[in-house]
Amino acid sequence: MEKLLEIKDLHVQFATYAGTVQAVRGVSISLDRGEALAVVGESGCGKSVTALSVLRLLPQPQGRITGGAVRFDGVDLVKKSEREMENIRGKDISMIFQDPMTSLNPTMTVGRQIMEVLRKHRRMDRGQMVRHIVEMFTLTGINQPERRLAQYPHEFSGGMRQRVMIAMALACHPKLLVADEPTTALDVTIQAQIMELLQDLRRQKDTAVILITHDLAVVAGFAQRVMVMYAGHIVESAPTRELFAHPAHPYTWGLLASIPRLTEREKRPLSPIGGRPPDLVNPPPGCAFWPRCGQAMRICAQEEPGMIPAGPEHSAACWLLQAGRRAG
Amino acid sequence: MSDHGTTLLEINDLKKYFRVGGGQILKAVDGVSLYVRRGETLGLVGETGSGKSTLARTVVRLYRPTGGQVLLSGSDVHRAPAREGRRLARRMQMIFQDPYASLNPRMTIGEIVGEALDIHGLARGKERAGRIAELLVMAGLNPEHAGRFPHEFSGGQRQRAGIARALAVEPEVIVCDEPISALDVSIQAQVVNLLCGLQDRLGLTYLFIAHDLSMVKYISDRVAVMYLGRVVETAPSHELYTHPAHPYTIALMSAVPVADPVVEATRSRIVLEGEIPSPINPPPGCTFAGRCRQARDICRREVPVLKDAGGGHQVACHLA
Repeated sequence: MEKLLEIKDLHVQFATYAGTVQAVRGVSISLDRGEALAVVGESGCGKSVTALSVLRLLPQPQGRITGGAVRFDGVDLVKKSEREMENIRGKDISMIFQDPMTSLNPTMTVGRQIMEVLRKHRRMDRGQMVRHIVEMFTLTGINQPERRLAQYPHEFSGGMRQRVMIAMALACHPKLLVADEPTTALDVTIQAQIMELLQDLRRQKDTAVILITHDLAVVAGFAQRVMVMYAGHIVESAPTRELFAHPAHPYTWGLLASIPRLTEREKRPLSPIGGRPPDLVNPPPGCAFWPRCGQAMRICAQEEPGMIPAGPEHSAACWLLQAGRRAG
Repeated sequence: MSDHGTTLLEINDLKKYFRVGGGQILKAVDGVSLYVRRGETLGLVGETGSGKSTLARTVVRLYRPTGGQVLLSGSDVHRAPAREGRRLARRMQMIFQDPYASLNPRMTIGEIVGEALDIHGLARGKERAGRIAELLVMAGLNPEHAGRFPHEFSGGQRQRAGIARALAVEPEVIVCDEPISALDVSIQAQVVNLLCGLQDRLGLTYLFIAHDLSMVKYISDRVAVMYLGRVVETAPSHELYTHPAHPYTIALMSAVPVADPVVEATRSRIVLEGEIPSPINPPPGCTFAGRCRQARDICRREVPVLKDAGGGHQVACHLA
């Protein structure tokens, strides 16, 4: 069956005062219908920029897709006009952000904001729209939906606002939901509620979800597949269990060694990754991670590694694999 | 850690209320009692609005308490005469969540650390420059960076600068309010390792606040759980995570994601209904009763007090 989303060799640049930042440098991602994929990485690795590129929401005029293709349901979104994109956003692809307060309009009731989406994409009269919103609110766990839809964003708590965003994002039953750090601003108990809600909705509606996050623990409970990003590249891709059990890239290995586990009895010393990510105005030659890598070889500083198989459906961009070794 | 075991910091029935207008009172901290032993790390966890930051700020004298006391080696830090108070304050320092907001952008890192030395008259002349260099090295910074401004540093380095400033006055207690929340995962581990190393070397005592419960468990000897201005449970760190006793703690622990898909697949979550109530006019009785599945009549009438529940646990629950 045809993939729902196929990103091929995506390149994105940003114009800044310090020079042109090569934020995304050849990212390829494919996603099945109904699949839960996590894209993990630290600040500045390009994960959010990749997500924004899919929806063609890069800040203008600084951000620019300079190469590659984003095929969604068989059509290349990179070639679409802004008007064509408007018909896709909110209908076929939706996005939720970290801070729902800045993505909701503070001067409009939440009901009216969702009606805007429905009016754009669906032929419904007012009564139908209200019934539909009430149904979406019920689905996303917002109590007293009839009363709530007449309220303004500030009358909702953080967790409830995120539920409103999810209700709005799913109002037109999109095929793909991009969730960029959806629970980072929330408390753990609310985070658990929201992640469970996203998982239930994905299964019920067969909506594919790309979860963008820095939190490996959230990934562990949600995603079927994980891609790790570093310095604008995908450095590792694997089914979730495989990635946690047998990380192949030294960066992934380092990330996992940096976090304590709640379930561990012994206090295992944390092994942080030393140093900092490279400056993407002048990305270094070779592997972008080698200056921070304890196992770097001569080739790592000279040639950029491609994705090399590391196991079933598992690959990583690391020369160690070529040499028959792995991170660890 | 020679005299590990003696109580260094004691918090007795501490209250901090804020007037929020309209005659209403917000009870941010409402009768908290805790102790921290010398050389120990006490973790403080709780959701947004539980009062943990207000508690921290009241402990280091950034707020005056509405009631209760904070004792450092038995001396009341809020009621001491001015000079004595300054001396006590020097023994307690704080590190903040956002190092960028807590470092003066117009001062170099050297000036920021030096200012702390000057205020307390700790080093002068040649000795001063040497001490600044030493403090920067202790915090894992390059001494040549003394002439740089905060904006020239990364987030992790800024947090190190905040740590160097806190260490300048040779404190015994450091209150860490979400010191790693704003940092990337790999940098978090660097800062946590730094804090642990400094504790071993200098015998520091930490009150460590964070919302990342895995990290709090990792760094703390004991953990106190706060809910709506009160402590509902304290226990040795591993005990609290393996055998939580308060219904709120149980729910909180079950909500924490674990970075292990095999564990995640078999875990059951206790999903808490609703959200933390407002600390303005909190409900009578146990503040958790409204979200507690086991709540009985007594829970809605009487405030439960912390009592021993075995295994080093203290629990404030009528049912425990």
